[in-house]
Amino acid sequence: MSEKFLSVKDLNDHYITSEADVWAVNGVSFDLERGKTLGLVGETGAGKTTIARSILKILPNPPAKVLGGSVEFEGKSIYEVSEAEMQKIRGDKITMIFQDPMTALNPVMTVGEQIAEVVALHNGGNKEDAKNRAVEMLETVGIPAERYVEYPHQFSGGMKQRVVIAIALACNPDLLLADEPTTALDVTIQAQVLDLMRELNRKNDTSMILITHDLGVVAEMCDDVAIVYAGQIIEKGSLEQIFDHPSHPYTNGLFGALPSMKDDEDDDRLHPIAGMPPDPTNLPTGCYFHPRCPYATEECKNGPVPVKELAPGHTCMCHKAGEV
Amino acid sequence: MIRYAFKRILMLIPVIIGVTILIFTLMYLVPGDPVASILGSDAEPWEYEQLREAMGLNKPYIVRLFNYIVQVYVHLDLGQSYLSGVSVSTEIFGRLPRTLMLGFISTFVSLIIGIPLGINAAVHQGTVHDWLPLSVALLGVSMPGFWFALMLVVLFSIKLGWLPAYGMGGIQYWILPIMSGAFHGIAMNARQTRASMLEVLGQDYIVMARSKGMPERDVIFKHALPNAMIPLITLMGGILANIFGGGMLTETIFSIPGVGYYMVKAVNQRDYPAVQGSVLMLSIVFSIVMLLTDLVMAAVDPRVKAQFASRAAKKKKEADA
Amino acid sequence: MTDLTRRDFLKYMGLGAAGVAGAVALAACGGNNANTATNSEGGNTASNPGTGSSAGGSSIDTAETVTSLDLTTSGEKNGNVTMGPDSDKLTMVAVAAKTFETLDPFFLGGSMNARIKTMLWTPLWDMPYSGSEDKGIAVKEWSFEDDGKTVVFELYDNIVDMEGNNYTMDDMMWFADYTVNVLGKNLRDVLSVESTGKYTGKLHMKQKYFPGYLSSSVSIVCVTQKAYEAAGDEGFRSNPVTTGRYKAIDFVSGAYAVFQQTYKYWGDLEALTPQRAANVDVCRYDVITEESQIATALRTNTIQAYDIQVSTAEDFYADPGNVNVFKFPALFPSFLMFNMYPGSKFADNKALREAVAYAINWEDVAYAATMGYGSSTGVIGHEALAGYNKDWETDGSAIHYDPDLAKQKLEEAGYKPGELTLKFSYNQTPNEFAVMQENLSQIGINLEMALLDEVTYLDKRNRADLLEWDLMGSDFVPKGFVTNILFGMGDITSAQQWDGQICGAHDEEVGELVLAARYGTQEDIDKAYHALMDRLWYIPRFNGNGFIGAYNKIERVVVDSSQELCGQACLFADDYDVFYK
Repeated sequence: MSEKFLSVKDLNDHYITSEADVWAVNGVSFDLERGKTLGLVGETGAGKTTIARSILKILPNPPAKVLGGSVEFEGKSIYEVSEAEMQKIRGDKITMIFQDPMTALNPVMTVGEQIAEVVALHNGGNKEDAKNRAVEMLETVGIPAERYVEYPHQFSGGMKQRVVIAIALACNPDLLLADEPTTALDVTIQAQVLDLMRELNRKNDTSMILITHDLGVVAEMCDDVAIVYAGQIIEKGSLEQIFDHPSHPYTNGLFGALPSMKDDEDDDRLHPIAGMPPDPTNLPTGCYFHPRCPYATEECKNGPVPVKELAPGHTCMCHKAGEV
Repeated sequence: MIRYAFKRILMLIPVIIGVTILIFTLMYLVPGDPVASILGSDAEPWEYEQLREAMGLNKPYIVRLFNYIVQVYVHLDLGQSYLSGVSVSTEIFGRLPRTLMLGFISTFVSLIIGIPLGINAAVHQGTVHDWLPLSVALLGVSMPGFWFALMLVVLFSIKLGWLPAYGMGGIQYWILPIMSGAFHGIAMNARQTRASMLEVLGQDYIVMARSKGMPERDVIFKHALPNAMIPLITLMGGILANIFGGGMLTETIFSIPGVGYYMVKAVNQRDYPAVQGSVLMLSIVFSIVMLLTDLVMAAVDPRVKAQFASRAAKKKKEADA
Repeated sequence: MTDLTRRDFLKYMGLGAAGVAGAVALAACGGNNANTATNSEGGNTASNPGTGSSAGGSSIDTAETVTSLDLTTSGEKNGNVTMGPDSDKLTMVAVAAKTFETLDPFFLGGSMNARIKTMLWTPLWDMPYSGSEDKGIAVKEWSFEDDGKTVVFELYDNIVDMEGNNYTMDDMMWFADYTVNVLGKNLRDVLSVESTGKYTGKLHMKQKYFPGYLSSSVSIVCVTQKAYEAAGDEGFRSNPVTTGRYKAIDFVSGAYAVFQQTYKYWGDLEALTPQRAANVDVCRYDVITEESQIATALRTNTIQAYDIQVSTAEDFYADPGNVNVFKFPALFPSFLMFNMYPGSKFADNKALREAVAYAINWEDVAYAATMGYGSSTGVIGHEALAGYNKDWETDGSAIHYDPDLAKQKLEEAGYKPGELTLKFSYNQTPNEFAVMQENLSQIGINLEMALLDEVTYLDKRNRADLLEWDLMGSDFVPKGFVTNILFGMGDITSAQQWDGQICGAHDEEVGELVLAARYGTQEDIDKAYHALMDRLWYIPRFNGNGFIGAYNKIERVVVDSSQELCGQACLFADDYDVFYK
């Protein structure tokens, strides 16, 4: 039995504070194959970042608590290995790209040092080699080598994000967790950055989990897609399956909410999904989406929702899967 | 950077001259007569007049101010105390080392105790490492300094008999004064360090550092601490001010002959030269400390440093073009 | 910045409160220092100077005594002395004034430092005890000319300083000249000094001689010109050449000074006043700036004696530890002064003054001000002063508490109840103010207070501004004699800043009477007293007590004759021993 590259099973994360419990991730399971890109799509607050940080085991504790489930990576169980082992994995095998480049870099260290740092952590501390590698990475991401000694505040947003990418890819990771890497950037830069990432991943056969709320980006970059809502994966499948045959009412709502370029007299208004995302401290009973679902019935309010397989690799968590 | 430093040093001069004029004017306006202090209360009116005349107190304000400025800045003479006849500079320079030592050692102690406490509290937020020292710190900033000093005396001198209650001499005479002086500083430092650490620890680049696979200890000391310290440097000016200001209290309670107490007693007795000289000295010390704080800040925070580097680079570019 | 939740806040508050409670408990423990080692019965030994009574019931084990030093011993003792009880020398640590920057005789000012000045340099005259005769110390003989305004004197011819320089009239002339002409100061009541020979001269005084005048109003001490000029100013600041019994062996400005006997005193020790004939080898004066630290220093025996305030005395009475308290009568008798300047409320309105005088319960005021250690007799002065007549207390002239009479007088004065507001300026902390305010409000007078710091108070007082005050506290300095108080109240001849001048009242008849009293008999004193009480420019408030706290091995304390408190080692008279364990 070949080991799965990445396997997340039934992950449950809560943020426990003195005021309330935040049910951030509620029974998430998915697998990822080597070299593939998985898109995690959902609204803000759906739990996508929490899932990613759980994989890297960098959730702030307190207040976050992993209440159940497992994460297996290349045969190792993330939640059973020691912290020391985990530190070897982080930055080297699994790395992360952060959403906001403005705050992701240490303002009092030069960018070159910050890249060299991650290299030195995993190459036995050889400073010289680390520096060289850092320069190499700078050039790979399109930043002139002289700018090694400059500080983050001297770079624009897009350049900063390239530095973050350089750090993330410096050690040739097997798995890259990209948390909304282009959300904070404007569209033209966004295209550049995405191109860069796709290029590097292809070259090094890097797997990626790409977190985003932008379906356009998903279409460009991902092989598989998982839709996240209120800490659950409500629909999962390949890119074609999700885009051509969206079956969960929420997924349909997402696609329906996209502004259309079609010149349709009837269709000159946006169609948002009614209602607001649920309060994670006080989730609805039964299906978390039922208060907003146009197709909700009585059974949707009670009990767990079944996961139905609509096609090989295409699952949907809905009573009415396949019917709408 | 050097030019910035030089410019700041030059700016000290108008500040200090301004202070001189200000304190002279204030003492001039304050009611009360040094002559009465010197001669006592049962001299004849003409004797008071005679002494006032001899001391030049009847001359107009501008003349006296001018004479004083010439005396201090041209002849470098701070004058003589009205009451003791001793040269003011002799007294002050004799006392300044004690005040400075008291101030700086208290500050130093407050730093080496306060900062680790603050870091510990931030890193172990919510645990006993956090709320215990911080509650004590709350006490520290709210408690009147002199009361705390006297309580220390009650405990260590009277009850336990371990330490002397006042005076000067060997190391044991310094322990209680520094403890009482530093306590407030420790509290402030701990709280501020904790606050800035917490703020920094919530930043993305800390998570980024962890995600690189860095051990937690290095995350704290290599990434969090340097950033957290920057606001503390700004605070140092305020803390030093507190300690020097409170130093006068400490000097009074522990009978340490320092500049602080000298100044206060001189104000009460309207000993003008002593007051003016002391204020001048202390303001010079202060200005230098503030200047150093600013320079350290500029050196440490690259964002500040870059301001001047880029300006210089721009000028250079224009020059080359 | 993390948010502080309510839970955390309550946690912090609870701990804070616990911390404060703990600290207070600690402090309370500290106060109850039950020292079992030394003290046997605690000291409520009151001693009355001038009567020579010894302390009662002290239980010093004679086997442990160290007998007093043989005063005729000579020989050089070097400067390295160990201090305190373990020393093989008789040493004492006492407390200096609140600050101490120089030992230069021209600048040792203030009552405290003046004592040190006369200890290091021989004064011309001194007074053995309150109310006694002037005694010549540097002066061998003297007589009067010019109706008592000129003192013709002869110095001892063997006065020498530490270096052997002989003191002559040339030195005195130089001293006077330097003080007045170079420094612009004064020699108290000496107008000028005249030299008539190597050791003879004349002093021209401001006033005619009266008992006690010479020791209280001549501030000349024997400083040798040669030594002073050789040392330069710096030298005398910390290492002066002295003519008295002591020299300075250590001095840190603002911190302490250490004096040791020179053992080369030029004169006859038997001829000295008790406070000068001290038997202490070495005494150290520590500067202690904070009152509470003095009590601490006494308790920890870091100092052996000092004058203490009545509240500190109370503490020691309650919990002596190893400290005895010596009590003695009045510092300065305390008075209330009316602003009598023309145009003031009180100027032509004796009934109003009487209203105020009778409205206040002076016993209560005395109690409040002295914590029960004073008393109000309602008359001028008290029995420890020379010239006091006990009959005054009972002959009807005394001020007493009579609110009904006060109300009557207020009406007579032309005021309705509630109509009048009076301003009261003072510079001590008058606990008694509350009593006075309460009493006065009972008869319908409003009393407001202005509390001033020392220098501002002196300043305002000397200006007698009508806008500033209606009533003012006044402390006369009797210097041992009731006549000095009377003179201060009523004299119109000297232009001195006596309180009398400030009060603003002038009356030729009174002026003549107080002058006569000074030089006259008890009858003259009685006349002057009654004239002043009748005028009621002043209300006698109370006579307090003074206190000295001393290490309980010290049996007796002699208080200096000028009625000013001093905490000096040299107070311990030569026939009393200082014991150490």
